[in-house]
Formats: sequence, C-alpha cells, structure tokens
Amino acid sequence: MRHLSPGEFVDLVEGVREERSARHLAACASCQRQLEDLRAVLHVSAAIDVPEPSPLYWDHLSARVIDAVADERSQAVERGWLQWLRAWRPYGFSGFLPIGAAAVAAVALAVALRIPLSTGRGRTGDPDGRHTPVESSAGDSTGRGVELTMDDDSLNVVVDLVLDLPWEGAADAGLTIRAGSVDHAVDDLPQEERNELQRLLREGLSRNGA
Amino acid sequence: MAQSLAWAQPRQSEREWGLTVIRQEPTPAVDASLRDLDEVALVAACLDGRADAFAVIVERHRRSIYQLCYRFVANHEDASDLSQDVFLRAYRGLRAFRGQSSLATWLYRIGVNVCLNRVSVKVPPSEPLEADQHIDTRHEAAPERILRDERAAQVRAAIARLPRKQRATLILRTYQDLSHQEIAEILHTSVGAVKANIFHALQNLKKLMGESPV
Repeated sequence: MRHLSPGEFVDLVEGVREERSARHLAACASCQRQLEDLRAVLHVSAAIDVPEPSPLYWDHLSARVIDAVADERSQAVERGWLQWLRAWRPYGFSGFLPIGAAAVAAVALAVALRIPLSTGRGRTGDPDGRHTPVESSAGDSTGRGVELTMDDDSLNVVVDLVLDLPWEGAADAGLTIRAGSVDHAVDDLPQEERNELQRLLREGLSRNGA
Repeated sequence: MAQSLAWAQPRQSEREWGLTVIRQEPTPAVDASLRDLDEVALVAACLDGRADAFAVIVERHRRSIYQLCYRFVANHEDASDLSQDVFLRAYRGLRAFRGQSSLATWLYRIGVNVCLNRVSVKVPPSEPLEADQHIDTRHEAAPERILRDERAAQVRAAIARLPRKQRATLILRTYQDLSHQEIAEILHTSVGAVKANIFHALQNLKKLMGESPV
C-alpha cells in the first residue's frame, strides 16, 4: 500500500485537491490522522499576526532607508574618486599618487574659482591678461598676494593631467556636473563676478566667430 | 522635530519596562506626480537619480517587507534592521530589475535572501511578549488574552526554530500568500521541493509545539 506523498498531503491541506480524489485516504487511517494534524498546525500557525508597529514607525523606517541610500551615494562618489586616482597607476605613478592627485585637483579647483576675479584686477596693470595675480586665501606676511601666472608650470601640470583624462573616468569620479548645477553656481555669484563671467563668455564666443 | 514615546514590555530576562523615543523623521519631499507612476517608470526615475522616486518605492513596500522580515526573526529590532538592509540592497541592484516579475516579488526575493543570510549567522531570539501590544484586545477577557498571547509566542518560537528553507517556504506560502511557483522561483528550487518543504515544516511545527497545538 502506498501512502500519500508530501506533495499530495500539501495539496489536500491547502484545498488544491479534493479528498475524494485521493482514494487511498478513505482506506488509510494513518494518512487521515496525519492529514488532520497537518491541517490543525496550519490553521494555528496561519492565525498568528505580525504585531502592528506604532503608526509613526513607517515614516521612521522610510527616513532610515533614505538616509542609508544617501550614505551609499556619497560612499560611491568617494569610491569613484579612489578608482579614478588608481587609474593613473599605469602612467608610472605609484603609492604617493592619491595624495598628489588630490592636491592637483585642489589646485585646479582653486585656480578655476579664482581666475574670474583676479583677471579683472590683473587687467588694470596687465592689459594682455597673461600675468594674473591671485591672492592666497591666507595672504602672506608681507601683505602681498601669492602670484600665479597663466604660464606658471603648476598650471601646465594640471593641463597635462586633464587633457588625457577619459570622460568615463571623470564621470566615475563624480567630476561631471549635474543638470542645473551650472545655473545654481551662476546664481550664487556676486554681481561683479557675474559681469566678469559675461565678459569672458562674450570674449570667448567672439574669438570662435560665434 | 516631533517626537513620540513607545513603551516596550520587558522581555523575560528583563525586569523593567523600556521606553524608546521615536523621532518623527521628516519624510523626504516627494513629487506628487511620482505617486501615480507604475513600477517600471518609478524604477526608471530612480535610475535617473530621483531620490524621491525611491522613497515612493519604499513607501509602497515597507509594510510587506517589514512583515516578511518580522516573520523570520520574530522581533521588531531585527525586523527593522533587516527591512532597511533589504531596501538598501534593492537600491544597489536596481539596474538588475528588468520588470519580468513584479517589484514586490523582486523585493521579496531580496528580502528572503537577506533574512536567510541573517538567520544562518544568528539564532533568532524567542518571541517577546511585546509582540502583541498593538492588537486590539479591549473586548477580550484577561484569561483569554493570556492564553492567546502564550499560544502566539509558542508558535512564533517554533517557527523561528525551523530549518531555514522550511521556514522561508512556510512564511512565503502561509503569510505572504505566494504561489508554489513564485516560491520556487524565489528560492531557486522546484515546485515539488517547495511542497516537500511545506510538508516537513508543518510536521516539525507539530513536534515543536507539542502534540496538541490547538
């Protein structure tokens, strides 16, 4: 005599299959008893609810998740930076590269932010605009600003590095801009810098024949 | 920032009631139009960098994911941590969502994996009595309530002691109401194996709960 299989029991317990269709069941007290036991256990366990947390909990959970996602994003940007920095190893840089590259990036950023202001100032004493004084944020003890010029070697290093930078690498490093971020940056400029930016843009456009 | 207090009954090993301060976190601002989007469009919006689109996904599925996790670990704290983990993994793997199954099934799959991994490294604690604190019992006589609480605690403890696959199968079938086929897909197994797991889970539950479970 073949008893019911686990699959047949489950179909009967869940009501997928009718008892009439299992002929063996009518003749087997053991299978009948087992079926009743399984039904009873399923009935009891199915009746157990998950307790409902406080109504405030759901927003709390959402906020936790969104915070974790935001952390994840910022870590991804950091990882992107590291990948970008490691990508320079094949070009002969070694262990000190990350620090050096970060320093170069910082200089590039500082120069990019300072040039519009300083070219305006520099033009009064330097009509061709090639000699561009840039004050350091701290200034020096003599009260004179530290000068960077457009033909400064340090700028050439930046230019050399950036020229070969693959676009994907920049995107991975989080260096690409988001839509609207340029508008925001321009909105934040003081009127004097905005005028200078306008002038530079016009100059650039007229040089390109636009 | 608004705050509310939540009382937690002491566990068996503790003597005093616990008091937890729940900060009412500001819900991330969500563009109302996102709420009308279907799953695929929401996922696309997330991949475009819309953080508020992911907030909508969380909002839609947080209850079911929390309940799934709670079924596995039988306590609020762990269920909360696991739920967060599920959504974080979902966010990381969003590009892998192709829309072949529903987002809910996809999240369940992640949820089950997260829970199974956790269960494999951590023995779930037995069910604390606090679990029933939010069920409306005002019309219930005290002896009835005590009996029901004891029975619920006994069943939860028994489920928590089931082998991983049996537990997962029983939870998905009994509480999440997934079909055998869906469970088989989530657990990467066959429908026959799913039925066998349900059968053995019920048999083991019977043993764990004693000879007369009702």
